[in-house]
Amino acid sequence: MSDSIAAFLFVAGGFFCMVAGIGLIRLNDVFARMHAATKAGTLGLGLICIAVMVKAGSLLHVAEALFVFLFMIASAPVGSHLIGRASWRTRVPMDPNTQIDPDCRMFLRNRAR
Amino acid sequence: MSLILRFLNLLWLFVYFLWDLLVSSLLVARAVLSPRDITKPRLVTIPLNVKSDAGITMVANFITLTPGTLTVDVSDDRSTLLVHDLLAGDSGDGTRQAVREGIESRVLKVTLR
Amino acid sequence: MIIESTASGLLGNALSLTVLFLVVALLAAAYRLIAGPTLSDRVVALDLISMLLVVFLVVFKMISGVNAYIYVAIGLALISFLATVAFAHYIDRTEGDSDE
Repeated sequence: MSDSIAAFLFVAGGFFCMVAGIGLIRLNDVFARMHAATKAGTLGLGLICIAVMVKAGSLLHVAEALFVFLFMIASAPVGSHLIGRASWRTRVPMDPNTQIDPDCRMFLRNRAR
Repeated sequence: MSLILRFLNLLWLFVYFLWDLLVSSLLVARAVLSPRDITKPRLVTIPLNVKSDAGITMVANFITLTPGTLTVDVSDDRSTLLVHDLLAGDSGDGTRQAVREGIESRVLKVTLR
Repeated sequence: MIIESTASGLLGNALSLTVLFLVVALLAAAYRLIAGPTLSDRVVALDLISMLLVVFLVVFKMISGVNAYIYVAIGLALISFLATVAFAHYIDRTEGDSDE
């Protein structure tokens, strides 16, 4: 029973990691690619860590897998926020379809030049 | 007593957040794997009710891992977030409302400010 | 030393499929790392590659049955976060003054 649950979680986690990779190729600009890399990647890692927890032999091994997951949940959004802010401020070209709310003007002066 | 309540709220916030992570990854997976380009990127500003540093950090991080959105920048006076929405409609109001009612109210229950 | 898979049957097949998915994702990220038009694209690709390596180490812990691999995963996760922060500063520094 625990084998089949863990097998399903492993395959689902691998699938979401693959979605993150394909998203990096198929999406149009840096921000859209960050959506794919951050969300799908974090969920993929989470599912695989849960699968390892299901098959873990002792409480220590459960705690180690949980630690990897929690650390990634804490660090992935911070990292992607930093990259996003740096790309916004250095005027990385965006998808031309992007609509910009009028009151985003107040953020424009943060941009270089 | 209120400490216990805050802890329970924190726990509930975490469960809600995991659910949001699952939903947002599925949306990203649909956007990545659909043969046509269904993304409608949009930059939205979100005025914040949270004032404390910890609250802003939590809201910004949770936004990054919730459906369709990614924090790009914080205004200098820390009152507004700039958010990139991958699957926005024709206006940013839906995103603003979802963030205010979904994430921010729950964070306020934990940080109290 | 030859590492033999400790998992077999259903779980072994699932692990093989997972590794296949991870290789596809790594190749896609490597393509973006090489072809990415801007520096930000390359940093995002590098970030995803290090995350995929963490995932691969966790999966490999399961395949090999050697528990020490998860400590490698923890260490790599810590270092890759620092690398991302450093690269974000690097983007901020360089591309702001490069054009014009």
